[in-house]
Amino acid sequence: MDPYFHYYGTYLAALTMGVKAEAAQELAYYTHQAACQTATTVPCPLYFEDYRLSPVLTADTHSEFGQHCCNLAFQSLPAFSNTEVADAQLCSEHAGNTVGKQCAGLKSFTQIQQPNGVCQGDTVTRCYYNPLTDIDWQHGGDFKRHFSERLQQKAYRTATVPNHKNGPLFAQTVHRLDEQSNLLTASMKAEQSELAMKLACTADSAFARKMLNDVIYKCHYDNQIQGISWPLFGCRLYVYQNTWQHEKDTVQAQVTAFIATCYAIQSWLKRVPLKHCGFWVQGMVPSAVISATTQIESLLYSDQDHTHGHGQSDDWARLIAHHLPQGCSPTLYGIALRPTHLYEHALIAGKVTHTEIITDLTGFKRSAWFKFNKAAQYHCDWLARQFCHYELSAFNTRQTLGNLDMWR
Amino acid sequence: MTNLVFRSGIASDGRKIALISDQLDVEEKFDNGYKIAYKDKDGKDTPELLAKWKEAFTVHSREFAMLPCGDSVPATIQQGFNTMVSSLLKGIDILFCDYNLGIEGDLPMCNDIMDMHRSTDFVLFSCDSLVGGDPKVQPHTVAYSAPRYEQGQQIAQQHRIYCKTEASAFCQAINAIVTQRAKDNMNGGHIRDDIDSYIGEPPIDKEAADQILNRFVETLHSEGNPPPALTHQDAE
Repeated sequence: MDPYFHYYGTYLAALTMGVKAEAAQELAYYTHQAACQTATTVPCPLYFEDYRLSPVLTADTHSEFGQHCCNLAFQSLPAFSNTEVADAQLCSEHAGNTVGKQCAGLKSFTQIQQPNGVCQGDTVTRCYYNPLTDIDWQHGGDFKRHFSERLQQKAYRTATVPNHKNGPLFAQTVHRLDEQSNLLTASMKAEQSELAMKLACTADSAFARKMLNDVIYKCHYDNQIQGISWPLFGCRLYVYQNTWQHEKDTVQAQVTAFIATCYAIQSWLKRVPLKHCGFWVQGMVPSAVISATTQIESLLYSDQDHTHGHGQSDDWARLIAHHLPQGCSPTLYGIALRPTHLYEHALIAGKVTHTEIITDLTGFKRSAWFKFNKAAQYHCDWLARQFCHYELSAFNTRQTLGNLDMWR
Repeated sequence: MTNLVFRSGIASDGRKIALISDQLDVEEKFDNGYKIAYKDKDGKDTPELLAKWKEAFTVHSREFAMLPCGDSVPATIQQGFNTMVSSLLKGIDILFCDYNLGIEGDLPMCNDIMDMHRSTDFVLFSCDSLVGGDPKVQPHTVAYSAPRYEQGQQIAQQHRIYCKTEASAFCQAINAIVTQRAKDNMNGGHIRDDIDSYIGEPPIDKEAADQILNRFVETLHSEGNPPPALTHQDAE
């Protein structure tokens, strides 16, 4: 997804839904900040006395899932699709042809042959561990990284994450089912297919909405996120918008993501959870959203025809300026995206020296950049617990800023 | 190259305690752990003097090379290990066993054995290099327990202790097991040789232990050096 879209799209959506200009820009910066903390662009760690603060990593191209599985947490949020539903969809897609019939066969077969809990086999959550060497007792008793990676490799030995449901993996599974003598192999493949299905990222998935509802609910009662609810909402809007990044038509994907962002912000403002699917009832779409959507559509299609770069940023900034409330007239420089805005403010607030030492801890902890990283840390931890819930504890997405007492 | 070491001893109260490892320096730590743990349990009026074994012997296997680390324990090795330990376990109340015997990776081998032999308590320890020596990083001892027998009220608990390779950790493990067994006895959770017949048999002697150890070493040899495939000329 285009980094400009994360910032300007969110900014415009917030203004459209009636958020105050300052808060709207703050939310836009939170949403955009996640794009600035990839493996190549993440800022250096900062220090206070002997304590180190490591920013949360949001993308890494070195491996499929990224370091700390950060790609799963920020770039391709798993939909945790219900495999029965997914199978049903797959069957309906291929209804009438031989693949569809075989698919039905596969479904009944997998229902009979439930995965066995075999030690050191393909079942992730039932593998034996050594409590002395495989558990990190200093950080709450989680599995150590090397053990998680070992499990992950076992669980995902041959499968790859498909962006679409009809990948070669499934075809291979169906093909093997024809051979009655290879039922066991087919069972293993079916398990891998099921895993790949769960890990696949789907645009506007129910799980993505659950993620947003988590912050909408908890901001009212959970002490842990009360100070960081707005940054957390921004961070999760970034993840939510990224669920559209696998769509073929990029312009249409951004337009839909914009409407979804408007709907999410409205839910936040009204303090009601997002629906399981869909946005507004037909005919009830706010006129401001319709108008902004039309403008965005024309902007994106015109930019598609011309060169990308500063011109695109200026077009977005003009569109934002057009939507600012009357009486609020910042300069164009104030609206435009400054990629290191939050980080620079944190350096100033913390009086950070050129050797990366924080001298004003209180000021630093008040900075929006620190709050964003706290929020991102919370998100990673929350997602890791969701993985455990789905019996996929091998995909440990947890990241910590550093010493838990120091950076609380 | 290294050897397997098996040490079996009868404690001053008659309990049979054994050790099996591929780390040669563990034997001394095992002895020290027992001597301290049984200091005041040997029924003598010398509570400050270290305890002594009633009887004990040690067997060393032939030399062998550790198998390189893989994703999991090879099936033949696991099978060989299970056979070996089942044979060595006769009459043994507490077994100290290397977590990964004969292989370099930190892979579990004893889980089947612990499930099959519920009348014995197990203490598992890893290589020093894998656990590390920093007490801030890892705990000294982690203890789990599982019901000994499926029958009855399941009062008795089988100990499964994971500990560092240190005399003090071994001592704590023995203490915990002896204390728990005493508690179980008070509540009716006795060891039952009618269910687990192996626990009522006499412990294995030195010669038999030597044969059993070397049989496992042969399995390790054959897994580490598979026989070359027959060529066309050989076949002729």
